[in-house]
Amino acid sequence: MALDNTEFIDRDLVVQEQNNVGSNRIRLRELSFSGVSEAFREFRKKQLEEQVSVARDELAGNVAFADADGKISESEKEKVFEKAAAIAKLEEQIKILDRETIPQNFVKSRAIKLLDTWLDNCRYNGHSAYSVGLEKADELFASAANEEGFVPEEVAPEKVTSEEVVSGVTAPEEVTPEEVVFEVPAPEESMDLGLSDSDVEEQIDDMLNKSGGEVVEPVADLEFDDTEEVADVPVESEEALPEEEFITDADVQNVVESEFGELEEEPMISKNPEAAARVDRYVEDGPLPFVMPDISQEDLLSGIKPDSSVVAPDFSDYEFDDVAEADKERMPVIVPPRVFDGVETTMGVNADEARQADESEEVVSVNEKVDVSTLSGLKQRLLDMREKSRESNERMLDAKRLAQETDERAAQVRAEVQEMQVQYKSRVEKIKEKIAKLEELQKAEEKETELAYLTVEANQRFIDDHQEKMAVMTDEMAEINSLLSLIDEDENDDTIGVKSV
Amino acid sequence: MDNQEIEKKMMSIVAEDGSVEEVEVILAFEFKDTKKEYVIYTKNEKDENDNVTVYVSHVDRSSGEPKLLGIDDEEEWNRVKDVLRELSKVE
Repeated sequence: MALDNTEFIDRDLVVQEQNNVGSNRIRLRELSFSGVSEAFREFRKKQLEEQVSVARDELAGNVAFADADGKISESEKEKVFEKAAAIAKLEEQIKILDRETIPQNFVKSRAIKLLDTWLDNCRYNGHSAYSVGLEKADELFASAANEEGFVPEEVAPEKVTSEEVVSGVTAPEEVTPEEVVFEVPAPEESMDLGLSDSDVEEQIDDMLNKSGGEVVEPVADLEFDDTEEVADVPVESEEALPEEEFITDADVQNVVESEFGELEEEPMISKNPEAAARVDRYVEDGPLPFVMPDISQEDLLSGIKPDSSVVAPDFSDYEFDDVAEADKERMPVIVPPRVFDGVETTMGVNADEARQADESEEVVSVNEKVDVSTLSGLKQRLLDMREKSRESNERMLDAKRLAQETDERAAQVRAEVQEMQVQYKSRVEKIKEKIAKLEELQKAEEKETELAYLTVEANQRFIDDHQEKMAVMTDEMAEINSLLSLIDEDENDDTIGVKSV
Repeated sequence: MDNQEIEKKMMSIVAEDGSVEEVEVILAFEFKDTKKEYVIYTKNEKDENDNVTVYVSHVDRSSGEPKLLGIDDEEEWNRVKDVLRELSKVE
């Protein structure tokens, strides 16, 4: 996989342009773009979390030296506070990446909280110093786990633990959930929608079934019985709350954690603690996105600003190069079905309103702004969503058909390519064999040539040797012949002398 | 650095005339085998179909100051596109 050989980088980058900025350009569908952005965001978040982990270990292992009186000196406290502030800053960045609402002065408050927790947990280690110890790191940060445990600045602090460290700033008062009082507004009159609940649910189920979404039973089918609790509303004071968990501790904690900083508003408490989760279950992301092809090499950008002469994007030009021309013309525009981003959870006062709020959230698109508080608005939205659902279903079927056709063609091309590869390989093998044979033949010829040269050389030496001998023998033969002729002359002379005596 | 800049990673491109253009970095990565670094950024340009135009550059640090270069090699470009394809499918 391409990602196995890839390493993300999170470096700050300032590019000094020398001549032109060279860039390739590519178009991405919205979902593709989101996928890529999300992957990089997760990577950056993970980097920050690792840094937080290291910083936490540093804080837990930090040693603060004692002064002459055996107490932690002010300068040491400042060092601890700096480490705590660094952790708080990283946590804030993680929250920003998670798109969480960050309270004002989060970093300072969180740093003070961590400092206080460190001071509460540090122990004298017998070497003129105080420390918490790495082994207590988890405990240290668990006790500081209430990360939003701070009070807005207008609340007078009662407890000061680090005032001498953070000059001019008093530590925030710790707020426990039990101290928070909520006023629950009176329930609105139930609205007669003209459609029964079962009709609405049936229609919504139909839409989801057609669009392939997950069908989840409506809120009204939850098993808990809230009729008695509905009768108890409105609640004007904390004492009036019924004991049977109309407002659970979890609800209060959730509200404190999620809506801290907005205490001026009157928060509505959900009757259904699972409402948030149920709304999220309706989130859809659509089919796998396509990646638009890049502009051709001719359109390669060579400057910061895009070249105005670049041809406008041809929407029929898809990723797969083998799409037939005829198919390109009738290729539909693939638009993903409705996409829900993080849908804000609204909580109803009573069961009916909670159910209606959940169902209305289900059908609301992020970009639509339809007034759900009126009957006509709800009806209109339902009709709109039915229409959109039908359209998206048709588009989905077209996309599936197109995908199937392209799959078949891709398979065909794949088979052809494989066949060509096989032929290519066999021909290459043949050529290699022929080359090997020619090489062997050439070697044999070289050997024979070498032998012939050696033979010629030997013969030449033989001839040279014997020519010398022949010359010598020729001289000797001449001498012998001359001697023989002398002998013959002497014999003739002896014969004549005998006759004369 | 404000929250917007933290949530979106920004990159500054300084032109020869000194003007600065801020673009949003979508992805920055390098291949482990070639150690070549790439950055993918956007100027938030969308066409009529809400498709987003992104720019892909190779970051050249050989001369000290980082420079953005285009990708001419076909194989290298295909590798980069493969990365984009895989990431776009991650849910």
